[in-house]
Amino acid sequence: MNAVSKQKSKGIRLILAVLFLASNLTVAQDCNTDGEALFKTNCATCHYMTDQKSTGPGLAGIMDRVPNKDWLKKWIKNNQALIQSGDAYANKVYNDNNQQAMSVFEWLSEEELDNIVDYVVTGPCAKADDTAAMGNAYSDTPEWQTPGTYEEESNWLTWIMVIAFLLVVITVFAGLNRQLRKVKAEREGKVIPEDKSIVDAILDWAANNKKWASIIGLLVTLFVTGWLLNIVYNIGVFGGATHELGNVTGFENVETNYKPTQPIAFPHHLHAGKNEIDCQYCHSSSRKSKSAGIPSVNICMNCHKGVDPGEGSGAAEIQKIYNAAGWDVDKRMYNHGSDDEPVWKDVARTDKPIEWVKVHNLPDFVYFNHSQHVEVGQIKCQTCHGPVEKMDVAEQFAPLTMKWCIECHRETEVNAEGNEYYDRIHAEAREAYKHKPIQDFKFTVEKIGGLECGKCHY
Amino acid sequence: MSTKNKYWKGIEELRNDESFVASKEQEFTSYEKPTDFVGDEKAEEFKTDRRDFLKYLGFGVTAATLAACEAPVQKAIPYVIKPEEVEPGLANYYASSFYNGTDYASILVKTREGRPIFISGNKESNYTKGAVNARVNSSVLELYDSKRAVGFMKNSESGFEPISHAELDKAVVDKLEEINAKGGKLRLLTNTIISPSTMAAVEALKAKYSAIDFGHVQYDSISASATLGANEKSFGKATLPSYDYSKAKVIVSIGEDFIHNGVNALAHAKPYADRRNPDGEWMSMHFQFEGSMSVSGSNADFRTIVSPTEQLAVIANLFNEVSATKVSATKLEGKAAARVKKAADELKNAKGASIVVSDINNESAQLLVNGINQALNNFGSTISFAKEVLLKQGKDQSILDLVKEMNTGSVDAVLVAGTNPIYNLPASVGFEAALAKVDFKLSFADRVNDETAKKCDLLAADHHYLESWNDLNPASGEYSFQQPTIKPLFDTRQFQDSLLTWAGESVSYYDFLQANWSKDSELSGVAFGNAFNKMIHDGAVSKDTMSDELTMGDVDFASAASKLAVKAGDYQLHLYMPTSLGDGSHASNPWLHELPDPLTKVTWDNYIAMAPETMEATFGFNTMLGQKQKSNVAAISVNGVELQLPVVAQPGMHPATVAVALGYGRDCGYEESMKIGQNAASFMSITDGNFDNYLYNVEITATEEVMDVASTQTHHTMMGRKIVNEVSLDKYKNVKFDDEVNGWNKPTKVLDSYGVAQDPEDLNLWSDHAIDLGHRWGMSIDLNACTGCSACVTSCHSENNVAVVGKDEVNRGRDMHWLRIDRYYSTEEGDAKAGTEEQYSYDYDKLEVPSNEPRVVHQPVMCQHCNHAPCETVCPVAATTHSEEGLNQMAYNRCFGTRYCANNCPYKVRRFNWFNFTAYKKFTNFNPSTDDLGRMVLNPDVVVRTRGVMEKCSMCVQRIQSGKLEAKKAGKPVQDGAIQTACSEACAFGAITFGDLNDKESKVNGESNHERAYNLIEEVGVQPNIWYQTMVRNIDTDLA
Repeated sequence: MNAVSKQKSKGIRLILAVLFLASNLTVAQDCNTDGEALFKTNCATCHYMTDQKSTGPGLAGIMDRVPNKDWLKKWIKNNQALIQSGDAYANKVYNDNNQQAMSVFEWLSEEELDNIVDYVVTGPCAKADDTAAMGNAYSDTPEWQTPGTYEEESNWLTWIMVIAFLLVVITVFAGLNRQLRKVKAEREGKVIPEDKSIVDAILDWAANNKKWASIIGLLVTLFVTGWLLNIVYNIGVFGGATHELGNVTGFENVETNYKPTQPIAFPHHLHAGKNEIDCQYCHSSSRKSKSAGIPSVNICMNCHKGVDPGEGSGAAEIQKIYNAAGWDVDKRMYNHGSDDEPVWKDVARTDKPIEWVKVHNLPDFVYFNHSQHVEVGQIKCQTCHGPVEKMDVAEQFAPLTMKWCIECHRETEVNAEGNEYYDRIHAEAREAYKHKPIQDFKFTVEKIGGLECGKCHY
Repeated sequence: MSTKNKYWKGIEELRNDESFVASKEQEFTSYEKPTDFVGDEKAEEFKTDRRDFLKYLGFGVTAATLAACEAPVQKAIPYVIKPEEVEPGLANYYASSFYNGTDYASILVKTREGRPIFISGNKESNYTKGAVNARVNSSVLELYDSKRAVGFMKNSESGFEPISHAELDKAVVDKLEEINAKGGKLRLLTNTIISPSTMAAVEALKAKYSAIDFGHVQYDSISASATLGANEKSFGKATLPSYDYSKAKVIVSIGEDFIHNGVNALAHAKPYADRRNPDGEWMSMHFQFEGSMSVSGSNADFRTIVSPTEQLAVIANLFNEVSATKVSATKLEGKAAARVKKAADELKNAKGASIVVSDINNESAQLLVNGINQALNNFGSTISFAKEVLLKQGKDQSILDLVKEMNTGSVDAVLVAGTNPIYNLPASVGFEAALAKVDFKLSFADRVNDETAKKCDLLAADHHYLESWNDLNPASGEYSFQQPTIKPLFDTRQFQDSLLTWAGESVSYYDFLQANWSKDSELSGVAFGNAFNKMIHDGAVSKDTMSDELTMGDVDFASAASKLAVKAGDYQLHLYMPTSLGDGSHASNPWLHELPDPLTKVTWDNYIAMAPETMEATFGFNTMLGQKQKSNVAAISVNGVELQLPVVAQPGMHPATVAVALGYGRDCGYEESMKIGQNAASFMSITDGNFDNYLYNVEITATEEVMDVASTQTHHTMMGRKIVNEVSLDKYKNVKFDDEVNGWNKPTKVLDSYGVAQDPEDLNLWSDHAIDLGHRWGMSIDLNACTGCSACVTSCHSENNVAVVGKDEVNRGRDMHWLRIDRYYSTEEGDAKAGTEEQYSYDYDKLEVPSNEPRVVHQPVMCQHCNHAPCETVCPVAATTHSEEGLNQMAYNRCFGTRYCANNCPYKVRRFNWFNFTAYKKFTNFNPSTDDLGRMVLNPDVVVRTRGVMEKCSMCVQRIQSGKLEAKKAGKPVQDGAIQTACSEACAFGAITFGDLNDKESKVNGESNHERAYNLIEEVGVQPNIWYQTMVRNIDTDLA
């Protein structure tokens, strides 16, 4: 596929996706979308729509409990004032919830309050189709494969089994055939030639057909050499017990899907996909440091103090976070402190870090810096990590081989726009390449030494 | 016609010794036996025939293949609660301070993921101005010493047993109360404490047990006791003045190593270096009178060789020359007399702008030195009591008094902190026997097998300084702070916290320190928390609280001078502090053990330094060093103490003077391998209550024994080519550098096949790299500023995870230092006609024995990052290649160890990993990266190399890359000076400038185009990116 048609198909996909989204929006007409937005921003951290208690009480059947809608609006706007006014029900709610004060939302307008209450009553909106939304959001990233091919598994093992099965069948039939012929010949009283082993037979044939034998021999040698070279060339970075040598032996591009089982079944597709949490909310050091960083437990707790149970796996997986953080679900506080934030001093710690299994293992002799690529180069995470927002379990997407790095450095243009650092170098490079045809000169990473050993190995 | 200087790296080269001629042809020594080569005597026992070999090979290949099928599962374990300031992969820097009684420096500690890994100078400090020395920047490794005490200990019959903090506290408090009840005596023995808050903590303890006769004895292992005494007699106050070398036009030092190992030397580095710049307003003139070779002496313009007794005479004669009053003085002969006259003339021309110093720990000598400075009006101008130096306040007499007191049995308890008297006092003082008479002895040492701690009942192990809080006050008005940069590794407790606990204070030392500072008048009225935090952040603060300038009273110089007429024995001895181990407190540090001495280049030992002519003429000793040149061992005895040490030739020594380094012979090293050398402190005798560092009558007798002395001296031959360029100041100012006849830095020419002189650049084997595009990193090394102090060597060691190889491997020429400092001695070769072929012919036979003064040049040499690198051409696997930014880069994983590159390198800067230094059993004794604790010091941005690969200076490519990245993130071009290599950062003298040669505004660009700039071995046409600045000496004779 050439570049132009690729471009076209992308455009078509975009249009389709937008249309699809629009149609979805028109379908979900029962709910209050403005209310939903407000609810999610302001209320969802503490309240569930079900009767599950979070920081605040669950909201199912709220209208049956509260005196009236106006009371509810007043409560939302300024519950403190309502409590102080001596309102009986307000004080009851306050006392029932361990006198934990709810935040005050003075800035909400009447209309917004109506929307929120309306939303709480009518319930959540139907979600637009996730896949389409995703396709829309990332359809301008050409580097990673389309979802269809991404799902495909490497099935060389199946093929080998099929071939082996066929070989067995052929051998059985050939044997049967020989036996039958032997029996037939015996019956007819013919002289039976000595049984020759297969190896002898092949050697005899080769001796009689030297031309063909040499050609076949040459081909086999070439094939084996090429295959070995390919292994060597494609040796990339794999980790984990599930890795099979087969992954590096194919002639095609290396397909990597190292997908270790993690101590917590963390669904990226739920967090990054459905909930659209920015990658760098959790992997924040990717902008600053060479390491993208695995989020510490307190980052999980920022949301999961409230979000419990999870949508996918229920309470069990989230409980593991709580165990790691030392968080008491019933009391909704840390085991080692009375405060919301942990107080370590003089208290036995019950927390322990989560031992994640590293998916992307670069060898120690390679220096890779995330911030160079994410912050300076403005490379999307998905370029190297694939559609993480669709992955249930995180897996290795790119081969992480040197070949793969270098190919990208050859093609990718330096993001020099508006960065004074590159001004002098860019000008000098333009000068140095001015005699070359203009279409030959792209200010690629290669042009500023991106292929040099010492850029990554020191 | 002009005389030409010859430079030679060692006696071997000078004498053109047969084995040297054979070995100079090759970089690596050849071996006769495989055991020599493998370095393991057991190697001979192994017999592997061809079939076994094939079996092993087959098994190895299969095993490797099978192992490759599955990669190990790696875990990624994040924090539970990530500290806000810690970002995995990013370094944090904390300001702190180093002080151990001998060295003081305000420092910056680099930490990665909470581990301190690198120490550099704190440029925010007005006092030390970012200066560090090798001992300070290596001290980070001592934090990860596996021989440190893991907690509090109790000495019992069966040795030391761990006890809890509470148990120890109870034992101590019970004891203190018992002594308090009977009004007994307690003595706290420390080195000089310069921390105001620590003193307050001591006072708190004293106040709590008010009935105890509480004495705090401070003494220094290498003291300035005589100077204190002399100042008390001259000025009425036992204190040390500060010296401002930036104002001194003439400096006369009698033995004092004031820029390197002397008192407060780090504060002198920058001011001294600034005045050694020949392009400055004026250049200082430096005279040194000494019998042994010190680093300061090696940098002097006029170094005069005098014996220790003659040094005393030099002082008296100099006094007579400059002062109105005259004293009796031993007459000096020959050159020394002329030099004293010259020095006196120069001093008199620079009244009020000169400094005279001496390290002789003799009160009479120091009194006369004060008299000289007084006559020259130096007090109040270059030497100031307004800014007192508060280091080394210990009087030697105080420890002698303590011993006397302990011997009477009247002392009930002794607490020892920060010092090790049994080790660093001479046996004749009898400290050990006296200590045994004390009922209760407690040590705060960091290890059980500290010589003094071993004799104590309890060990309240102190934190390492990188785990501690403290405030320091090194000089009037100068304050700096220590802050912890890591959680304590072991169950130890800071000394001050222990004192506070026993004093019944419930606050931690940090709170105590803060409370102490909250009383500070300057901080009242402002938000204390912010002001205090800012001070901790900056690490250092200057205040204008000055002491009073003092005036000299009546001093009886005549009687002082009469005491200087000392009778000399056959040999005299100078005891000096070595660059590596200091006073012995760094004995557990393998980086420092492996650091070559700046002058002899000997590692891993102390030795008797002796003039080569004495060695040969009197003793018939071997003066060579090398794997097959064992050194003779001599017995040296003073006052009945005898030690046997190897003798090493040191040109420039007085023929009847020897020198021995202190700080060795400890038995508290990492392992057996570090318990090396002999403790020379046992030689010290006592004059007027001061420990002598010069001994005027010693006996030396030859023994039959020989031993290996590992030196890096002759492994890296430059084969006599022009590598050091030197000129006198006069000629530098008056003659053009490329003057056809007298030019002192004439462009190098080479003769082509037709005998025509050509620029080396025009005779080119290689096509040019595109060196004008983007950056081109380069360096300029100013030979005038480099003093040879070697801080850059350890800094490089620490930054680049360089392996420690040990004495045996150094002896085999396998040291791994990426940066070495070549030290050349010069002698006058005789006549050579400039501009003829004779100039290029080098005949070692013509070199003379340096009977008088060899001049010394220190030249740091690292990979020269040649634009036409010969190493790159010969690598069969392209493991070493050239970058577009001018770096010669090394991909370790590509290298398979042919060593062709090392063979082809004209500078011999490539280092080969003969072993897996991080794992092989031979190196586990001392290589820090062989245990988990030691590995914590490794820089995670630099690969740890394995066996069979070549390595070399990368010009700190990891720092270049991160500096560029910071610039890209900020969207700004790289600022000149923003990127520093480990060596340039460590240089207190500003000798190493790093930068972008393509940046026309950069300092390094300016220096590379300077008249003084030249390349090393330019004639081979490799076009290095490292430039050297011609050395300019402030002398009158024609040098070049």
